[in-house]
Parts: sequence; C-alpha cells; structure tokens
Amino acid sequence: MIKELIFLLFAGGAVGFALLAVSLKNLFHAALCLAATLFSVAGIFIFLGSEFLAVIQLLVYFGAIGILIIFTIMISPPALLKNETKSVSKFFFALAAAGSLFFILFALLAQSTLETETVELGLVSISQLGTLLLTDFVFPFEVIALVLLLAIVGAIIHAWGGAEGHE
Amino acid sequence: MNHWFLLSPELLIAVSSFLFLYLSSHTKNGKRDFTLALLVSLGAVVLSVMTLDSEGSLFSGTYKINFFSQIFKLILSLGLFLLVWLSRNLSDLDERVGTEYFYFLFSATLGFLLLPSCSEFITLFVALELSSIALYILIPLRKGDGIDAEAGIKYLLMSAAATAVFLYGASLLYGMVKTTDLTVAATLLSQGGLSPLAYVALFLTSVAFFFKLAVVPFHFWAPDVYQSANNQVTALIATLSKVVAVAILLRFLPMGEGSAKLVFILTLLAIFSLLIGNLAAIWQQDAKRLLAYSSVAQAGYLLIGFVALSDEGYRAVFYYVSTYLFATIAVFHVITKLSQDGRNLKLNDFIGLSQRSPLLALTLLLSLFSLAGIPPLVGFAAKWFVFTAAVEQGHVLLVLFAFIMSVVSLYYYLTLIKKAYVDKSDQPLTALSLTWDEQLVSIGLILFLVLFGIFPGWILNLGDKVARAIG
Repeated sequence: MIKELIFLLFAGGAVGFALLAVSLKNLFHAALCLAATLFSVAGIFIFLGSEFLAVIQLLVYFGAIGILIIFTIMISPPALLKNETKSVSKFFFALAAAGSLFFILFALLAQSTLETETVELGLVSISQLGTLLLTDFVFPFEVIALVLLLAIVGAIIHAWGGAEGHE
Repeated sequence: MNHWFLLSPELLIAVSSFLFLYLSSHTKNGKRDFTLALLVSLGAVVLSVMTLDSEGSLFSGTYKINFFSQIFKLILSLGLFLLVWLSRNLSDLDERVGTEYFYFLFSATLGFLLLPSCSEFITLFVALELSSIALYILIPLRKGDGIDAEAGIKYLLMSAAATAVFLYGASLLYGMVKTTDLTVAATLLSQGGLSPLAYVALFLTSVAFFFKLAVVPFHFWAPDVYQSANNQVTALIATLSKVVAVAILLRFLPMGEGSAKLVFILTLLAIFSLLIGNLAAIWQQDAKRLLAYSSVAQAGYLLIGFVALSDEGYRAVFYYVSTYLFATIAVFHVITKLSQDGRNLKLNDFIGLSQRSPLLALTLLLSLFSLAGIPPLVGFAAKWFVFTAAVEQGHVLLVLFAFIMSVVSLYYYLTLIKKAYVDKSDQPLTALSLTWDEQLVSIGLILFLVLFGIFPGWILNLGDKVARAIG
C-alpha cells in the first residue's frame, strides 16, 4: 500500500511538473519544474529496479542538465524572454490533435494485453549493464562515442561563429 | 571472410571523418580537403562494390551485412561522391569551417551508411542520431542572417519530436515481442496477423522516417530548411537522407503485409503528400522551395509503391529512389553551378540558361522531365513500375489520382524549363563555361537518366534481389 502510494507520488509528480513546465509563463519557474520532473522520473526508475539508471538520472539530468538550463536562462539577455501571445484557435487545434492521439493510444493500450513478466528487483546490476554494453551492445556503444564527439564539435563551431558574428 | 573487410566502407568513412577533424586544427586549405574527400568517397564506392555480395552478422547480431544493406551503401557512397564533387565551391560557408564541413558531411553519411545494416532497435536509434545530429549542425552552417538559425531550430525540434515518437513506437514493439532484434520481432509480430496495437506501434516507429521523407503531415520543415540551408547541404537532405529513409521503411513496413489498416493509413499519407506537395509547388518563386514541395510530392509517389505491400511494390520503390537520387543531384548540379556565390536562386535566375550553357540547360531539362515522369527517362519508368505494382493490388483510384497529380506537377517543372529555354532576358547574358569535370558529370548524369529509362532491366533486377533480401 505504502509502495503504491509512493509510486503514485512519483508518477503524479512527473506528469504534474511536466504540465507545469510547459504552461508556466515564467521561464525560470518552468525550468525548476522541469528539474522536478526529472527527479520524479529518477524515482520511477528506482521502482523499476534500476538503481543505476536512477543515479545517472539524478547526476546527469537533474544535476547537470537542470543546472545548465537554469544558468542559460539567467545568462540570456531578457529580450529573449519575451512572452509570445498565444492564439486561442491554435491552442484548441493542438489540444484536439494531442487529445485524439492520446485517446487512440489509450484505447489501444487498454484493450490489448501485453504479457508481463515478474522480474526480481535489483536484478540489473551495474556490472551486468557494463558487460552487456561491452559485449552484445558494443557496436551501438561505440557509435555513441562518435555521436557525442560530433555533438561537441558542432556545438563549438556554432558557438564560435556566433561570438564572432556579434562583434 | 574477414569481418573488418565487411565493415570497410563504413570504416573508411569513419576514419576519414576523424582525419578531417584533425586537419581542421591545421591551416585551412580548401583544395586539399576537397581532393581528399573526393578520393575517400571514391574509395567508399569501390569498397561497397567489393562487399556487394558478402553476407555476415557482426557484433552479436546487432549489425548485419547482406545484399540489401550493401546495395544501399553503394547507392549512398555514389551519392556522397557526387555531393562532395558539388562541394568544390563552398562560397557561402565561412572559410574557417571549410574542413569541419567535410567532417560533418562524412559523419552524416556514416550514420546513413550504418542505418540499412542495423538489425536491432538500439543500434538503429544510435545510427539515426548520428546522422540527425550531423544534419542539425550542417543546416545552420551557412553564413548569413538569423533566418538560417530559425530553419535549423525548426528542423532540430521537429526531428527530435519525430525521434521521440520513433522511440515510443519501438518501446511498444519491445513490450510486445520482448526483443530489440528486428528480424525476430518481424517473425513474432506477423504470427497470427498484426494486432491493432502492433500496427500502430509499427506506424509510430516509421514516423521518424516519414519525417525524413517529408511525407505530409510531417513535411513542415522541408520548405524552410531547403531554402535556408546552403545548396550542398540541401542536396544532402534531398538525396541521401531520403534514400536511407526508404531503406528503413523497406525493413519496417513489410512487417505489416496483409494489414488493411496499414494500407489505409499509407494511402491517406500518399494522397495528402501528392495533393499538398504538387499544389504548393506551383506558387513557389524560390528554386529550392519549389524542389522542397516537389520532394513532398515525390514522397507521395514512393508511398504508392509501399501501399502495394508486395514484392513488385518494393522493387518499384527501390528503382524509384535510386533513380530519384541521381535526377535530384543533376538538378543540384545545375543550381550549384549557376549560383557561384552560393545564394538561393529565384526562378528568374534560370532565364537564358540554354544560351549561356546548352549542356547545363539540357541537364536541367532532362532531370526535371525525369522528376515529372516524361518518357523515356528514368522518372517515367519509376512512376510506371510504382503505379503498376499498386494497380496489381487493386489500388486503381489511388493510381488515377496520382496520375492526375503528375499532370499538375508538369506545370511547375515546365515553368522552370520555360525560363531556361524560352524566356528572353532584358539584361545581356554572360556565357557560362563548364570545366571538363563539370561537362563529364553532366554527360554522365544525362546518360544515366536516358539509358536506364530505356533499359530499366538492370536496376529492376537489383530491386528484385532487394525485395527478396527483405524477408
């Protein structure tokens, strides 16, 4: 009972803060809500028995990325924070599109039976993850290295060009 | 056979991309970078030919080499070779990023080369990210005002959303089959027909590739990105990216064979792509924006081949996309030559092209006629095969509609040709002289468009082998 309650707390937190993050006017508050969402997701990971992912989620997303976003907002010139006026028709159109997609997926998921397996908690240890990454999944693991290098070089190139351009 | 040899085209491209990264910290030398890139891409073509008939399963089965993957690698490396050749004059990029441009171009191509071989969702996702991130960087690379950043951010956000949808679909599929292996998933899913959830999941995983193909309603990025990316990057997006998307869809969609609902969704997508692409293209004044809408329409014709969900359909799709690549590159060859300073061309910039350079005008004429589907060019044969495959499966009305739409498309292709051949300029024309390699590429592309249109058998046979290799 307590377990379900805590799970609901985390799941509800993830959804609630995510909604707040996209609806709040103040960008700084929205960023804080995003961080809270990431924290709640870490909680869900613990419930799914992957402590490692939960720790990584806390360190990387909640810690590093959350702070990075908040820094970016604090450093950006206020002119960039201008609030756009929202058009009502666009809002309803988006609501209808998202709502119908949600309805279709919900109806499908509700009527189909996905087989579930009971997995013992704590089964996925860090060493198992590491072994998998360097054996069965070594290829995607290596390609991720290329992706990260590419992203870093790309970020440098664009940041560099931008700084020169504003002189 | 040696496993490393099977991987040789990808390894060559990967190693050379590192080389460009290394060279970027040295003195910039555009000539050196261009020559190196040209040689490497030629090497990748040779290696792809050499590995064409090899088979192998590498890295615990996450990466499979077979005829299907290798023929797409051959097409992609040929495309890369021509794209590098188009990049001989990068006048609208900052000279300081000239070497990095090749690093990004080769990284994007590496992602594309990996994708047809991925036989597992996680590998597929990582390779998809490699190519997408390279494109995010390349699109706003052009020097200029803020509009470039806008298109880049638009592409980034929409592509990220499409990737998220792909992941969601993949997670649903994983929930059903408990494996990330594509081949195993395909057999498990097709046992006893697809469940409603399975075909929705299949559709969601395909969304990332519909996005790359710019199928309506996933096409909103295309006009802006085509317009604001520089000409060479636009050519990359218009060619290689589409070929890869088709390759992956050829692996995904056959899982839904016999599902009337999937056919219905694909038919809807095809109809709207044809309608919106062709009608919107008529109003465009910017050559690349016109090509963007034309590519939306071409995606519609491609989808008709998928609607058939039969081996004839897959064969036709293969023929369509491999010839579409060269026809599009021919158009971009004309555009990059005509726009020496790298600016965007208006339709009026084509006025008097037939007098300035008859060969270039002929290349434009034939490639546009091919895109419009005029016999005896490859584009006509491609449409013919796609249409017959769909008619065989009973989609007569859809084909009739596509036929009417291709008549509509004639209007805007002919407008461009009329500018080049008929319209008189009020300003004096300057002759446009082609160097020997430009003449060679023009003649080569013209021969391709005509010869394989008259004798389509050779590419069709390859398409047959591709269709057989899917299963």
